[in-house]
Amino acid sequence: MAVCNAQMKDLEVIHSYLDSQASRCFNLLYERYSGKVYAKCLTLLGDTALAEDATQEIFTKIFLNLARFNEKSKFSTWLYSITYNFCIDYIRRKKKEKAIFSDDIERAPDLAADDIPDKEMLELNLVQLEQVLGSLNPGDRAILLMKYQDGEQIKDIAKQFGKSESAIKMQIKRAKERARKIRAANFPDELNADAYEQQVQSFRGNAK
Amino acid sequence: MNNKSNPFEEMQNRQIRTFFDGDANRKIKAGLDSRMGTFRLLGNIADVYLNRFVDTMVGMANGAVESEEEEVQARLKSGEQSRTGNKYPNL
Repeated sequence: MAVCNAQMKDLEVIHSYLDSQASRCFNLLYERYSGKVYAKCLTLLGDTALAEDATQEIFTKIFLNLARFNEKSKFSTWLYSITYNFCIDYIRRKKKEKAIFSDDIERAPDLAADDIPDKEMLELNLVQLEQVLGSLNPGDRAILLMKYQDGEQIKDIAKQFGKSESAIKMQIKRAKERARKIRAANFPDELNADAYEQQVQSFRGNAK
Repeated sequence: MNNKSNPFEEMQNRQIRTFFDGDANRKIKAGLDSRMGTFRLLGNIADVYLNRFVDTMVGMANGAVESEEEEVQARLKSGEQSRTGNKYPNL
């Protein structure tokens, strides 16, 4: 197989690396994904030094386990799943938390109607988003990143965490509720302004 | 998801820029290269010496058996020769 180049797709690069063991191939994967892995670690761990260490550990794991990538999902999904699990495990070990999902969420019936529209999360500005994510627990942070940053489907998130889809829906719902509360507590004026704007738009809509 | 700019992606892009502009990328890459070098070296050492080591251990464990076999083979050979010699004594 040809030596790796920037035009090759992830799978081609991986096959080429496994055949040739050329560092250039692994470096290409590193260049493509190190920034995103670091960004996720930084959001989840909240500390630049920890994020650097975590990124290095995660790529070492990838280097040692690339042959085990079974190609059932995209490489990026596999890599991000390792990233989330690594960071959550780190926080759990540090805080001695047993689980990121409580039992009641695991037993949640499939009725988790989501009252908070996605729009509300996507209209946060950067300052608000960082404040909100920084105040949420790691499980909530990870699940919101998976949904709104990686654009993952509920079934894929469920598969990654080994949970049921209804449990994940419930987790997202609760994470959004907590995010809304944090936003209201930290940015009450903006929230009121948004609510006012929504009321005005609704009134205009009704008037038409 | 809507077409408006996504704050989650914006935040990620900003963090990625910081990563590549600052020292983080260089430090991580250097650490990773060093680790990969070590793993490769260990792999090469294992490749070269492990086989020899295993051969030596097997040789040590089976050495006595092999020599007995060799002995048996040698006896058989000499036996055949002597038998051959007895069979045609006048040749």
